[in-house]
Amino acid sequence: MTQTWKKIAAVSVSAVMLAGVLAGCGPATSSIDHENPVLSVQTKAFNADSAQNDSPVVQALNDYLGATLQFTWVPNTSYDEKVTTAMAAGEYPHIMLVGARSSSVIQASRDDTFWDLTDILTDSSKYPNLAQTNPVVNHNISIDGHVYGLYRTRELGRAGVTIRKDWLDKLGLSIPTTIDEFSNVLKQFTEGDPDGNGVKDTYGMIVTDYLDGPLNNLAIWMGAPNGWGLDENEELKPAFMFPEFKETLKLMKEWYDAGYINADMATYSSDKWNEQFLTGQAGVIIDVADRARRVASNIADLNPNAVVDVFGYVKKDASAEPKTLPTTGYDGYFVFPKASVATEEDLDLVLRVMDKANDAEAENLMNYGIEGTHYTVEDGFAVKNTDEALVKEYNDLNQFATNIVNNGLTTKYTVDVAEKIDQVYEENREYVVPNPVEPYISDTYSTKGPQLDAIMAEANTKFIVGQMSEAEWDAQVERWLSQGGQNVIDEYNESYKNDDSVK
Amino acid sequence: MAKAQKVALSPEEKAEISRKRKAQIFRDRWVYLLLLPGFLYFIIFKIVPMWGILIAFKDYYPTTHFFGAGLTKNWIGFDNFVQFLTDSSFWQLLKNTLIISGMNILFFFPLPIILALLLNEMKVQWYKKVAQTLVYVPHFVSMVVIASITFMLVKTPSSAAQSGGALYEIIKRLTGKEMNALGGGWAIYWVLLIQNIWKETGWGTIIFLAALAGVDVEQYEAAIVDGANRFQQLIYITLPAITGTIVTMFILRMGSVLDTGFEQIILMQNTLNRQNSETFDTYVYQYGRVEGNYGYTTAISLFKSIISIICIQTANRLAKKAGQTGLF
Repeated sequence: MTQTWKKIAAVSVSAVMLAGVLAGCGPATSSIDHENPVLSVQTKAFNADSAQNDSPVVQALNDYLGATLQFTWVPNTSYDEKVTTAMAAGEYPHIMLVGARSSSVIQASRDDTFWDLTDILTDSSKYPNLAQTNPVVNHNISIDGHVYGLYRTRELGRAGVTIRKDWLDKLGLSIPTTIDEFSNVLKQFTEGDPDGNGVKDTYGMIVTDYLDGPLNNLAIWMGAPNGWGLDENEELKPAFMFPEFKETLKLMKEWYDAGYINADMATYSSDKWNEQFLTGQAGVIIDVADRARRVASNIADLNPNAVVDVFGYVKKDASAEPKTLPTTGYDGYFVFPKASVATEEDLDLVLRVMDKANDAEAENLMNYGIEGTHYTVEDGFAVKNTDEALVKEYNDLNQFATNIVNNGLTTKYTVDVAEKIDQVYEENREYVVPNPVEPYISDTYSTKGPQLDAIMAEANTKFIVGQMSEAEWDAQVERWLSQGGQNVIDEYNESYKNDDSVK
Repeated sequence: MAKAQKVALSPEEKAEISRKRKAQIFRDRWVYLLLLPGFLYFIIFKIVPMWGILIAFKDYYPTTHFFGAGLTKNWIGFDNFVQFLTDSSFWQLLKNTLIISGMNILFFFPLPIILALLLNEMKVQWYKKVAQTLVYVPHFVSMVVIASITFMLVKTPSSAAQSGGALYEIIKRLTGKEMNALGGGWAIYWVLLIQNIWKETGWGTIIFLAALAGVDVEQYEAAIVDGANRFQQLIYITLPAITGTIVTMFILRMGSVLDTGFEQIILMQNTLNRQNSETFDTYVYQYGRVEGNYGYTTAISLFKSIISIICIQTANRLAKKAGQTGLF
């Protein structure tokens, strides 16, 4: 009797373990059925509970697009890793978002892994929406002059400063327009007791371990180029080799030493950027203008008297030209791998779906769900139902939206500052300083980029917090050059000289 | 002797031995069945993928084809190794890796042994069992959680008006020193070591406790009769009894001297301490897993494996020379 039991145990245990061993093998991708197309989509997820493929909103979207979408949600934090793994395994979805142009993505594009859309997207008779892609952004995502994807549109003039308006009013200050005024605001926010509690318990600006955001904005205002710029010899050089950049660093160091910036900026996580603003400990954040909306709606619960305002930029001095830091205009792009989208007919089908996804109805579905259930329309604005169970049904679907054309509804603003954000965008766009190397590919940078970036990120942080002298910072620039930076400079200049679009 | 016997065997005897062996295998077939999954696991996931190390000698990216047309292309010999060994960050990586690993061997390795000995000396059985279970708990806490707890304990204040983490404040009030445990310098090494000690010491006792359980009780009884006190029993009976286990564990540990893991370090990394905390494993993670430089990072890992083999062999020889049995 016990013998039998032992045998059964041995067989079942080994079967379970075998199953575990073999669980690694996944299913193969099938080609597209043009009658009932099923398209797999891989994109980013920002929520733990993204919309399920059987959710009513996805079903409605499928009905509208005429294809069944199968979403694979990958957490934002490990997205690039997942793309690399997918390429290594050769298992591609039909529609895959590419986050960063890493060396493996560039290599794959050159190896003809993805469809080249350069001449296809322009066909307005087939794809009325996609034909409206912005040539500048297409140029930015191009690799060796070829466009391999469909970008996700982002606001170009998105930068902005979130500020406590009621603190300004209390101190008799107005929204700063120059660097000096900005400095003074930080000083007064730190020393002038803006919250009026009689204790010196506030400081000016929150800076996080994502130093590049505030630093690059300030550098642009101070007159440095965006990322890269032309020096007096018409040679492209990285921004940090321009004197204006160093001036910016010195300015930030001054603020840091005076306590206008949080002392723990190097270790302060950017996830908690709003925290000390919301709790009334600091009053300025340089980031994107729409941060003001989130801050304004959250601060109302904690401090009903707080007033949040937003502005786009300050000038170097009263007579200087305004300058603003643009975004790249896109946040990743969708590629269509030849391994899964095999023929030109298949590509046409996929692109038609992507084109339809830019229609108002599709955009509304992705942003707000189904009308009447997930949102209602009031005065032409969408008003969301905030029931979590309902939000769950379309969570993250907007990560599939390319918004090449913005046809969809907008939301009614619940906070006053929100309307101003659109004005900031519009004004910023007028003064953006473009990054000249955005479309170029440096082979050295694509392999050594993170290492090179880390050198300067470390040097900048250490200089501001006083762990590095100016001479040591200069030595780090030399180190950057010797570790491959010089090659990057040479390669970008080579591309620049051969680029007809800048002549 | 064995050879001589073999020569002397007649065909009938050989057949007899073979038949007996088959009978034995058949008799123990269920045990062999249990062995099968583990056996397959090693074949499928450890032996078969080994051909993959060939990409260390190629200029290889995720989309490069290895077979077919790609078979003859992109072979670059030892270029990846040369590139890595001559890279200016190599020595920095080696130094950081050796410091982190060395501190672990020096300070962490003895702790599970000491804790196991302490647990072994406990007389009250229920208390011993409770204590034993409780020290295992940290092993199951996710590194992400430990990183957040650490951060909360040691964080520095944002402004003069605020206070820092509990540990930061205690140290400040006792010594007057404002310590930034997450900043530059050696601090990060101690943070990593202490996290490791907290998380893994209890778990590490298991193997030593198992060894201790096998010590013959009669030896203790005899020692007591001879008048040995508790400490003498420990030195002359307990320790010698588990020396073999300690040596085995040490040799195995030497094999992973260049392994620091990347999860813990990446969670604790920031711009101030990256210079000190970047190791081979974090470097491979960044360049291989995230960036997709598969050929290059495979070369780095292969280099690590070769060093590991050398370390294991050396430790094994030394152990044998010192009169221990060693691993092989």
